[in-house]
Amino acid sequence: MTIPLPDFWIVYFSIFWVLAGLTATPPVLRHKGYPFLLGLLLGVVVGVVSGAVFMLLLALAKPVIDAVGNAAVGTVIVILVAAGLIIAGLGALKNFIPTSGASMTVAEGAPHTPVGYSTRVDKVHPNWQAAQSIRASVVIMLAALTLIPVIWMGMTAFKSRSDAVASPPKVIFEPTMEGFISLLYDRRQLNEQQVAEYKQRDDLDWKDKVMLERGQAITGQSDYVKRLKNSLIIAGTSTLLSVVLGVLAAYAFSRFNVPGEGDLLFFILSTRMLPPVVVTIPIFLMYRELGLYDKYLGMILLYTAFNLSFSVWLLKGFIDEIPREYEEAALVDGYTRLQAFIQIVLPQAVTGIAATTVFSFIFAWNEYAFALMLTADTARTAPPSIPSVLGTGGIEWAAIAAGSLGFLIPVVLVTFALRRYLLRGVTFGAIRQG
Amino acid sequence: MSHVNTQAFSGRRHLSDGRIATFFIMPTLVLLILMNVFPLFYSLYLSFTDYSVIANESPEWIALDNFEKILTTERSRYWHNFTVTGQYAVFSVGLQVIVGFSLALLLREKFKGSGIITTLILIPMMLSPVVVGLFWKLIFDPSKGIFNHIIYMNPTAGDQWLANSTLALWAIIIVDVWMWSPFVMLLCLSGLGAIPDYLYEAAAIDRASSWFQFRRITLPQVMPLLTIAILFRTIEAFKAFDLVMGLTGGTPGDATETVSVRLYREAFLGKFKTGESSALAYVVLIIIIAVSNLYIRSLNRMREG
Amino acid sequence: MLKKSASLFILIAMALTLVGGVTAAPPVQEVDELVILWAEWDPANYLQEIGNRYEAETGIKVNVIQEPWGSFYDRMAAEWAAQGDSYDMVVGDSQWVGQGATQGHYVDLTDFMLESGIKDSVTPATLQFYGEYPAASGRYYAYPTEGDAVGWAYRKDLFEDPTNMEEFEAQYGYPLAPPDNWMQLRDIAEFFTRPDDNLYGVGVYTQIDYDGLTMGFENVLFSWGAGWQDENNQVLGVVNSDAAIEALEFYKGLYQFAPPGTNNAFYAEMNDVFINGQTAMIMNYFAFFPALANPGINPYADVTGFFPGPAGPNGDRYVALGGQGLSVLSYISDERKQASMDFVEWFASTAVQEQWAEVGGYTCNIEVLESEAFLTNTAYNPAFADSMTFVKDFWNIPEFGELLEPVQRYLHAYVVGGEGTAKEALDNTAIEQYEILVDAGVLTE
Repeated sequence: MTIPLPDFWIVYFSIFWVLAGLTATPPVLRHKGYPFLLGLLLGVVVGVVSGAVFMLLLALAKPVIDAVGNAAVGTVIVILVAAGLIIAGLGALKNFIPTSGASMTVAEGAPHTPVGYSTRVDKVHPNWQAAQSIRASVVIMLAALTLIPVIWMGMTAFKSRSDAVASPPKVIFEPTMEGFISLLYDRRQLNEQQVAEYKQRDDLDWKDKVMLERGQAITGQSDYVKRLKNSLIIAGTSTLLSVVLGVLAAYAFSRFNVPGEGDLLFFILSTRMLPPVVVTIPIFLMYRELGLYDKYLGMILLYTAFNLSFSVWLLKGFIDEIPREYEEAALVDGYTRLQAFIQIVLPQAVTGIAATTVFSFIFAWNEYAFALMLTADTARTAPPSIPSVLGTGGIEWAAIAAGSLGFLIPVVLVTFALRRYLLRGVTFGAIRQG
Repeated sequence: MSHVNTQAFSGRRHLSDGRIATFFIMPTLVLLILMNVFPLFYSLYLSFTDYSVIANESPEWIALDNFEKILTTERSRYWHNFTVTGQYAVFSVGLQVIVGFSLALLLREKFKGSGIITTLILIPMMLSPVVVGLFWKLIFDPSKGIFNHIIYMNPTAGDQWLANSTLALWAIIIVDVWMWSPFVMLLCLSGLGAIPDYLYEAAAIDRASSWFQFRRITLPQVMPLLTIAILFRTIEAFKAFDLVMGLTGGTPGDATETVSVRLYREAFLGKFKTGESSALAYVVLIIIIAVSNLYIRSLNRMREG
Repeated sequence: MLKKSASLFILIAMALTLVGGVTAAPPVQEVDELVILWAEWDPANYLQEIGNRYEAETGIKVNVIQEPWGSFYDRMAAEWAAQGDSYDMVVGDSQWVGQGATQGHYVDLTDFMLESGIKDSVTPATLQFYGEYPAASGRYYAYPTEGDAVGWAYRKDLFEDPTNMEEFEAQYGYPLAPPDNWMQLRDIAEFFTRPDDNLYGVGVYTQIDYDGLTMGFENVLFSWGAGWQDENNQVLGVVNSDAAIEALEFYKGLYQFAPPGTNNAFYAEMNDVFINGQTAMIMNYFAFFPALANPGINPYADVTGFFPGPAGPNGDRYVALGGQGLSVLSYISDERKQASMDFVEWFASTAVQEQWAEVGGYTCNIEVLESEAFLTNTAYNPAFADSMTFVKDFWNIPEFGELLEPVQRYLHAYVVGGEGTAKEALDNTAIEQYEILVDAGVLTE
């Protein structure tokens, strides 16, 4: 299953242009009174043509690639140039579409930039809509490109040992649950006689059978679920703590005249600067003495401290954006400081709080170096154990991929749950204006 | 409520602003001090000693010998580690800002499904760096990986990214940019969301060019959050360890050996030169402090000016 | 106000961290559990199985804690630094013995090994490398538990293919078979390197972390009659001797026939490039061969053969040693030390060693190694038993880690990075090692 470059990039760019064409042409053409279907058709044509143009450019650019000497750099340059040319060409094409006066009230005022930020949807120009569609297509295709490694990881989770390291890499393969079973259960290698003995037994369920195919017997539950639970407790609590402490400190730094504010803030920042490699041993010794080694509390405190610098700085950045006039108005109205903070500032800082929560959670969730050194069993989190699924003589890619995916789900859920706040932005424009 | 009444009231029941500030800041400071004071002072002390954690003997005071060795001995090649780290930090943070900011500009206008797309783009950031290193090593593998199959017309003749002294660092940068651009993007997106529409409308009425709008409206408004993103990414880049260790381990030779990897190699991996590695860590710390201080100062000047 | 209370808190914090050091000594109690630290891999599972049998016999629970390979050494070192008693015993790397012995981390087992007769139950080479420190001193600190060495796996289907055999003989003038010496191995590697068919001749260790590359190169170095030191521990002129330079050039030559992507490869990657059918021969520790003999993991398991390390140009034949010995840690109470030694004594008995070999452990017990049952148990056991008679190891003095580092760095830059010449790489290595040894007092200037 080799995918040589022209094929991949042409497929990729063609999909992009078809997508862009499909979404962008209909509004433009409908605006001019043409039927929707024609728009769709034209979109496909644009996609095919631009794919062909891209291929042609690539063929013409062969000497350029050779001249650069480094194939990788040359290819990237050609791709950029080609993409640029196509976009420029399309931009030129756009000018041929006649504009209709009625909906151009704002845009005519500024010829270069139709104002797209208006909320008056009914008056948005089709060019703007087309640009929006192309923009969306770019985003979708970039997201697809970004996700290739993640998808590859997802595929690997269902591969057998030999498929995972196949050369050339296998895109089509026979899926197996081996990776997930390896992740969730302890196994041991059997020799041929033992395999034969095991096969005689009739108390085997499907998991045993899958592993027996691989010459292994399940000996019990693995620690994965337990460690996942540890991760949840530790990362969850420390995120909560660091956000709560962070929002308090950030508010104080933002609103009050704290003596030595700059130095204090810098001190807070500097706690994140020392490479963890160096502090693990001192912290290990300290934790042993204090009885915090391999304890939930120890890890929670550590991760809270680790995240606090980020949390304070980021939240201060967000709270700085909130106009002081609000609180001042509230204070005049008889609110106390605390009331003003809780009822006025907090609701407005919700984007910042959501972003801080997500980032803090991700940092604490994935932290590796400290977890490795400061936990052994009871409080060990998942990151140090996932890459170590090094069963029989080698890296068990499928199990690692499965473990990473399982480990990814909680973070995605948290982010997804908070996405409404995360993407809302700080929305005071209207009030500021007034 | 009369004025006098309020004063008396706030004295008893309501906290004064100063008190509130203290109460709000104290927990954070106490926790940070508690967690950091021992490790910091202990490793500072060790940096002046000849000590190894595996040796059953107490640290021997050798004053500045460790620092002298790090800063002057040519063969120790510490400067090489700093150069690599510097290159890595500049290129990866720079690219992250460009990519992240562009993505944010693309995503600022909502469309159907943009919420889901944004969450999907954030996924690389959510993965564990160790696993990312491990998997990208497989992806970069010239015969078992997909990277060359996507990039090259003839994958078998493609570059061995991780075995090539120049490309190996770029490979790490590519992965770091892939992983952390979403972080910059999300913060920029929040900043962009805060820009009031009337600013653009006013600019449009004044027939301001889009470059002018970008430079005078978009950029300044995003700057505070972008600054924080750059600051933290730079600090993390100086500490780059998990990813480098997983992808190359500093190879080929020591072509991609960042300071953190070097630190690990000195402090663990059979050497266990605890004293010398603590000294190196302090040199790193001083450099990071200097860089971020300069950075914060120039930003403050920019904001005021 | 803020400042004052801040400084107060700093003081309290410092006081806390200082005072916190006072912890109560654990009360003396009967030993009902023994904790053994080992790396996370199959042999540790086998040891747990044997441990379960010990519990059934004596009622004392045996708990084998498995730490990932990447952090195994770090964890042990941290525990040593804290003089902690979390573990009673450790199955430690052969190279740690020097540190364990000179720094007092390991209990001296000499008297115990002599009195119980354990000393004579294992092969002399394994006892020398896994247990003895300093060399030839007759002081023992570990019981050789998991013997290991670098061996070779090869694809029988390729070697026995008539066309290949014919072509090979026509090209090189001798029949195609598992090689007896390194020159033949090189010829075979060259013969099978066919990038157009995605087939490569040989997989060799190149990893820079810890000791990977060194453990691969050593096999060639020793077989060329060279070594890491002479009898006076001198390195100058030894590490960079002509034979060593030739050996390094040879090793780099072998790397040219390795599949692309093995530029930072160790045991896991070796198995990977064998399982995916890219490579005709690989070097690897015997401990990782069970996976290759398992048809569920390796599609070529039925046609996989094994041979011990080949000989050098002058007939010298050595292979790099892997494996670990079981040591008792010295920071535990006397009761636990005694209980640990009881376990070692039980474990070292021939009957238990037979079980150990049967579940999958690589025993070092002479009787078991020579037994028919062991030799026929797996396809690689004969090669293993053979190899254990000509093993050799890197330094095991406490400074071995420092000595290892320049070797890894310079050799990787030369072999993989293609920087400089073999002579430059080894000259630099020798100079740095010399300085380290002078600092350590092993050599005088």
